[in-house]
Amino acid sequence: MRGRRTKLKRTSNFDLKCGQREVLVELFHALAQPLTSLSCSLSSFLKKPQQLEQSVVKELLKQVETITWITNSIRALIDAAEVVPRAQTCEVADQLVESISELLPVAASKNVKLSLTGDHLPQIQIDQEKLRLAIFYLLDFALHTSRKGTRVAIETQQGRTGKSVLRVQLPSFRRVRKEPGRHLVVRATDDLRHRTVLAIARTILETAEARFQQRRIGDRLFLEFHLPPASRETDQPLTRRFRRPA
Amino acid sequence: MRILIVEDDPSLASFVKKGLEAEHYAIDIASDGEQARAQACEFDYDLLILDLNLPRLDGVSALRAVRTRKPSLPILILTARTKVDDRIQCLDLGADDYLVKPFSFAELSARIRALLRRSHVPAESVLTVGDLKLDRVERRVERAGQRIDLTSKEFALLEYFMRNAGRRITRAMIVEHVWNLSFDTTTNIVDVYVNYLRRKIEDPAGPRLIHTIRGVGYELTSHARAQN
Repeated sequence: MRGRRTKLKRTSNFDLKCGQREVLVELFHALAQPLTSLSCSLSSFLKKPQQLEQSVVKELLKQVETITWITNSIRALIDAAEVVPRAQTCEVADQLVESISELLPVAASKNVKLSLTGDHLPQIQIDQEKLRLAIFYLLDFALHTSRKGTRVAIETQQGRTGKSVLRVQLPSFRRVRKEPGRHLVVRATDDLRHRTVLAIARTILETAEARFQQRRIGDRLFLEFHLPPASRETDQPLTRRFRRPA
Repeated sequence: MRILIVEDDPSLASFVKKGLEAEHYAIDIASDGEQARAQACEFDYDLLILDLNLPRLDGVSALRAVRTRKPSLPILILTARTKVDDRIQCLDLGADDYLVKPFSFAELSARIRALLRRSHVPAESVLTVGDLKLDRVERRVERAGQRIDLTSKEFALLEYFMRNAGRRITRAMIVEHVWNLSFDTTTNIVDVYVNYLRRKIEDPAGPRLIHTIRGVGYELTSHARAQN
């Protein structure tokens, strides 16, 4: 009983902070550091231009690259929230199979396995291209935050309330830690980069009225999307275990 | 090579002009859509770099007008708009590539080189680099007469490399053109697929075909080249 309470407590306390607004706030906050750094450096060079060495210019370019990435992330998150008028009924499982097949070489390079199971085939009203992006980013997040030698399990299920559930289980979630000695900008944004990718996937699916839930039990992380009932759903079993490409 | 840059922000236009002049291009600048349409239609340019948000005549209308008069002029769109619909609209109207601001000068330079070269190469159904052949219609790849089986993504990647053979292409270009992703997730998908492709098309004992250009991306060439 004590063990169960501990599990629940650990589960309820965990928050990956991958909502659109949360990540946007962090991205804007992250802009401050490289902008300040650039502003101060350029002001000092104006006074002492002889200090403008090539190594310094390279460092400044890195700051600009960080600003560029943050700006593009903000834009991608805002675009993700836009509801496209040409929504259609899309098969989630088809897109899962396609994205998993495409990402298998990446999974192999990270020594992570992927499996897909399900007791029915959910559908969703969404633009097909946006669904492709959402699934790709969701799996990309899972692959880049899983430990080597683990299996990421993707499931589709019929939920209790008639909703379908798309669940991604990361058996050993690896949150990017701050590494001493690395550059401040990179250090501050490594974890944020991964959460931005997940936030884009989540925001896209939320435009199709999916509801997101996350749970963490020990090292295991469960990402769940509760999809609203579509017009037609199939109750065919879905079981695929993907092999690493030769 | 003569390039027309259409950009209403004078400081950005000036920086891009200076950078491209350092790479030995001749540069003209137009600051609004009407001027761009007139100059692009009147003079012979090798490339048009067109911003979308322009005074007097918007970039999309300018693009439509220029494309009608100059069907073979390579056009690179520069824009702050990132939506897939904007990108599709511009490509449908005849733009050859699309670069989102903010961008690095290295990225702009790589895309210009790719476009300038592509404009002189007819769209052949069979692409050849050394003894490597890719048939775009039959979807067949051969090296030295030996058939090579590729997945559809590997085929698309190799086709993109071969269409840009001899030119440096960046990871961002590959992610956009082969995977159709406009946002860089920092995924290693490009590097992983390039490694798979190398294993399939390169002879381990022979010279490398796909060269890594450090800090830039890759280049496909049948000639040996010094690694940067």
